[in-house]
Amino acid sequence: MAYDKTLGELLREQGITRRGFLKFCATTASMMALSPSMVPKIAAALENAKRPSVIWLSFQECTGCTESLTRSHSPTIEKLIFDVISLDHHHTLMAASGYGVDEALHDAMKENYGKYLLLVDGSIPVGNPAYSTISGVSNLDQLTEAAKGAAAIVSIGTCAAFGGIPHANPNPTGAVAVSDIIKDKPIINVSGCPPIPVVITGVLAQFLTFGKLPEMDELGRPKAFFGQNIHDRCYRRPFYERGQFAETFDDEGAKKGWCLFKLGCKGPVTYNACATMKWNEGTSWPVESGHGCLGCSEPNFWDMGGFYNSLSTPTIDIAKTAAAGLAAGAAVGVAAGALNRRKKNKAAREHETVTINDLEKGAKS
Amino acid sequence: MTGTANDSEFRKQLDDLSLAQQRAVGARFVHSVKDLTDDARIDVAIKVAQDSEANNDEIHSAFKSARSAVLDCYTRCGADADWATQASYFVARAASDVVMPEKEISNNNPAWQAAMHSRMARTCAVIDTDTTEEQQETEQQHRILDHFLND
Amino acid sequence: MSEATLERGIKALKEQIDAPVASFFSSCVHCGMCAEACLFYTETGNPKYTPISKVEPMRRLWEQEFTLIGRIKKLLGLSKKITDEELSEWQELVYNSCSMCGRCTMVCPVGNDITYMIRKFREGMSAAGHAPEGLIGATTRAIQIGSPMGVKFPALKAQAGHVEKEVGFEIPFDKVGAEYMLLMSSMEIMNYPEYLGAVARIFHQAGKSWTISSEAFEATNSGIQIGTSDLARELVNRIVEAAEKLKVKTVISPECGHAYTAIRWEGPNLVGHPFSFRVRHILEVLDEFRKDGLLRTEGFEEDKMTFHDPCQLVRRGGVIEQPRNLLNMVAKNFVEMDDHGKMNWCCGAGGGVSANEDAHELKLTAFKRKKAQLDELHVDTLVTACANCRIQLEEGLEVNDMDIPVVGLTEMLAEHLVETDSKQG
Repeated sequence: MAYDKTLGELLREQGITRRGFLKFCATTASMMALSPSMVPKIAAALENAKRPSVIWLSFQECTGCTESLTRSHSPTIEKLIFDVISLDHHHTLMAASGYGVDEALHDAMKENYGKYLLLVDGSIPVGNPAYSTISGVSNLDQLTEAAKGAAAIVSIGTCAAFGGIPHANPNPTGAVAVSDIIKDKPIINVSGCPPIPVVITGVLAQFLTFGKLPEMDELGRPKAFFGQNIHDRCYRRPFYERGQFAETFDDEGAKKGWCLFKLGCKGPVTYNACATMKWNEGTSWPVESGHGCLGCSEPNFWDMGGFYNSLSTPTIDIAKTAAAGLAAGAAVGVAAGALNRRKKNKAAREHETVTINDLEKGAKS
Repeated sequence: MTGTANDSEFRKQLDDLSLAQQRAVGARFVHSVKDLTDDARIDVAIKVAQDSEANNDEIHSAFKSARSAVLDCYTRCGADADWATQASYFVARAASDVVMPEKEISNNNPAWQAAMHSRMARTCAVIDTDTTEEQQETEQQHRILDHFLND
Repeated sequence: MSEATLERGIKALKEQIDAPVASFFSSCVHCGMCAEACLFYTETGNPKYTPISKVEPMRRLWEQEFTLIGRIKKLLGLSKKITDEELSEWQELVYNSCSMCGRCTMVCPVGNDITYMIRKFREGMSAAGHAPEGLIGATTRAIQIGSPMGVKFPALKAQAGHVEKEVGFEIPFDKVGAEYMLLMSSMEIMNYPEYLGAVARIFHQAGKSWTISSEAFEATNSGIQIGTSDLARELVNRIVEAAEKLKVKTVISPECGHAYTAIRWEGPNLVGHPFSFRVRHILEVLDEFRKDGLLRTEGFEEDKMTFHDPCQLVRRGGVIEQPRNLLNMVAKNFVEMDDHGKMNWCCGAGGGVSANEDAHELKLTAFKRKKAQLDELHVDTLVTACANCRIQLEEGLEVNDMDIPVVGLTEMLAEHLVETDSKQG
């Protein structure tokens, strides 16, 4: 495969205009919360980036992550960025089958040893490795081998990042996350079930641009996308502040779009970009379509006490403290609100009607 | 030929003319309200519309300059109406009607359009006074057409 | 007798800071995406035109008055007071460089309605005496004469007289019990009288009763543009009174974007109660006619044409499908601009910009965005449905030496009506 052409040359060959390319760079900059002055730098870096080899391994997964990435973005430039990355091995997407697949994997690993980016989706069964094997090789062995020559590893989806659904109680396969096995390589967790497509491409773009992984939170997730709380950015937040909650999925509150907290929304404890970036190219996201957040980008989301139990009716003791804190916070908010309302009402009471004679400025002093 | 009695008769007669004739008689209507403007581009339009030899390029360039005359004197949204300027706006529109390139005319009749816009120009000029000049303009147009048909 | 002062302005601003404004300010993440959505920024590259920064003085007031940190800062003398000079500097940003087109609102990732904030900020600016002269003049004429351009009823009557000759039947004025009441914008009365003729012919064919009120024919609401709700309310009230007096079922907003926003969306909120009639944009009415089989056309335009969506129709009003339904009745070769529909770029002259002479140069700079959209298409004809957009488009095309005629959609439809009876009366 050709690794000698730069990304800029390849994009132009594919008929992508410079304008379209810069637009992508600007979007990437704003997604990563970089200043607009970074756009030319990103453009320059991407233009000259050599097509890196990317190996994608799938373990205990449902292909939802791949679906998320490919389906919703197939006509956009993101996909083309993918086309020009040398995606040398990806079970679902590659045309080859049988031994050819294994060959491609080994060739790519050998040729780009120490330089390739390893993308993993799915968790790894260590209770009994036989639960998931490919060509007779266990996931555990395959991961350990592939990780050796990788420049960095990106765990795509909550399964690879935190164990995900296979890891859920009682965890019959002994599923673990990539980071539980590999300790000597930089790992970035792009969690979510599935993750937002542009978050995946954004992380890759950043890697290509700066040659290193982005700033991460304590769970190894890129801060640019997982730095913000769903609840803090939720458009239904004002209803929460006012104490207006939907109590069932078909009551007046639900119809009016009130807060879904009482219906089990995990927004307050979930960090992800859904509320700001939305899904399907910005069309909507779970809360907008009327369902609470499941908290799918958080570890153990499957075992957080039920999707429809609200956070303030705890199933485990530790949440009591959180609920008390929440109540105290709400009280402060209410008091401040009352003060501000008083101020505003005063301004409204003192409203002086404006007539056409009042539009001109009086004699200026 | 008998005098043009009313507007429907007037319009019918205009519809029966060839495009070149419509341009020519329309130009005479514009000429009749030329006192409401001092824009030289109007004269050019009148001249070209009356020239049966004029080629498409000449017509097109006369149209373009008449259009720019229109845009020079329209009233902006929210601006205080100056009816004298507005009169020259309609004169310019009438002038652009008579030199409109064939493909933009569609099913309008340039002479009729010019007649209407010339009348509107006259209306604007007298809007603050209470005169019958506007009616006179209509009668004047009827006379112009009669002359034209009898030439 | 009072006059505009800084104190009144600040008081008016405080009154305007409501729950949405407060939550918008507190949730802004300074991502700068609104800048890229604003044609005044994209065409000048000047960061002062970033939409959210156009309301900076209001943000400071909110912080000082309504937040704990702000109050502490104010107490300690750490925050800068809003001064008259500052507001006067901001006049350009709030009025000249914003057409309240709402594109910034659409892209804001945290859902801030920046347009709403500009509208509110203008309340304070106008009360403080910092509205542009052009808008003050227009608003004064609107209140005193009934039209921002000083068009009196006899002028409309005179134009209607010509239209009557053209169409061959009477234009109905002050007809009690008519189904529809037509509003006009002064722009249409003065510059595009053919609009009235087109409406008359379409209604004639549809067999619908309609009328124009001699007391409230003007749709343009300068009170909204300058940002003075008290005056905007008075203008809306005139229409409400006339419509109730004539007992009409539907009031039709003309081919003018902001007039539509003013009467349909702001109107009931300003007068404080629901209207006894419905308000529709002319294109909505025509599309209803189409659905009911009352709009019958023949023949097609062969030219390659595109449609410029007026910002207030698509973004603030949701009238997106209707113009396309109507265009497809008469246009064979209709193509869409990039970003058409709800994300279409503004013409650059709405929201009071065109009434404001100081903004003349800037609005033509802003037009470059539309030029770029058109350059990609190579159309023969540009169709729109707003008299103000139309004049801006015509002027912009002229300045840029682009040879594309601009037509109003209503007129284009009228040209294709199936002739029911003799055109001349």
